[in-house]
Amino acid sequence: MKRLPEKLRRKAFTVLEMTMAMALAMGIAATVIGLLQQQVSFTSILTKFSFLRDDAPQVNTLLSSIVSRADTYRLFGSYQNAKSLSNPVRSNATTLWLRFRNPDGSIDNGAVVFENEELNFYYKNHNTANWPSSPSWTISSKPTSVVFANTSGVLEITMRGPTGEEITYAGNPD
Amino acid sequence: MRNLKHRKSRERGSALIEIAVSYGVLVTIAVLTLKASVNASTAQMWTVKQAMTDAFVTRESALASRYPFDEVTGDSSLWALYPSTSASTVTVGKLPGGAEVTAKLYRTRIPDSNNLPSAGGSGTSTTNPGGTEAWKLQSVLAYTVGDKEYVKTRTTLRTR
Repeated sequence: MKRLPEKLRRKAFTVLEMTMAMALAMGIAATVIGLLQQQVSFTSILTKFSFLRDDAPQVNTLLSSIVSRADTYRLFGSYQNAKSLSNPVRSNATTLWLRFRNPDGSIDNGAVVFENEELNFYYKNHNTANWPSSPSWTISSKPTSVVFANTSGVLEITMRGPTGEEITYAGNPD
Repeated sequence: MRNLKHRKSRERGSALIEIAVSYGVLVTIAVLTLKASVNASTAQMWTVKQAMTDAFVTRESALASRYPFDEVTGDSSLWALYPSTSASTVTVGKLPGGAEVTAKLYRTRIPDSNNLPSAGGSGTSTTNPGGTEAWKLQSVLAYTVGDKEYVKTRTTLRTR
């Protein structure tokens, strides 16, 4: 067998060198992929908490400002029942009926209703005879469930997020 | 000619050094990002538990204000007569995935010193001719975030 001249042999890498270089390069590539996966999973964890961290407190702030202006409230299983003030309930309510007494003695009404994956607010001015058929505005579409209850003399609002997270706020009208 | 040979051998070995340096840099970056992520995650958990426990103690204050006075001072009161406390484990919320967040709730009621003896005080008909009663309803919520324990308390004054 003819051997390569010394000059040529020195120009090339040995198999061992090539193997080591490839193995180390693959190791680096694997580490980079691992880092990327780690960042993706952490971002996903952070996103899962966004309902409890951002959305629920914001909804609670809005509800607090609405409820604190009311002078009384009642709970109902549906918007239809709230409009006719029939079949009030104390737990598992999806509708919070509110009464707002104005400085001139007139009375406005409002209803916070969880329906179609949205928390809506219906407002009935004292000058209008009928309740609106569509929401006056949407408070939030983030919760997957909002349940009102008053089993202990305190209005409790339990909100559930998209990944099963849950928080209960309390508040009573002034 | 000799210098050229030396340079070639240095070039051949440099790949190994470069890869080793790359490894070192990668490991450093990995450790730093992991630490940053863990820090962000811990801070987030702290924020979420603060929100849950704040909501719970707000509910506790509302309950203490609304609870019928006769039941506040009755035998089956939720607030045990000081120095006794009623302790219970409560669920303050749920984390993503449905895992419950629990805390320890301690309640006690403390009579005002000017209450009549029948209402736990040492007042007399001279110091308290109207026989008024005042009670401090105290609720203490103890919870943990990581390995640290936190306590929140709310006190409501009830009189009649």
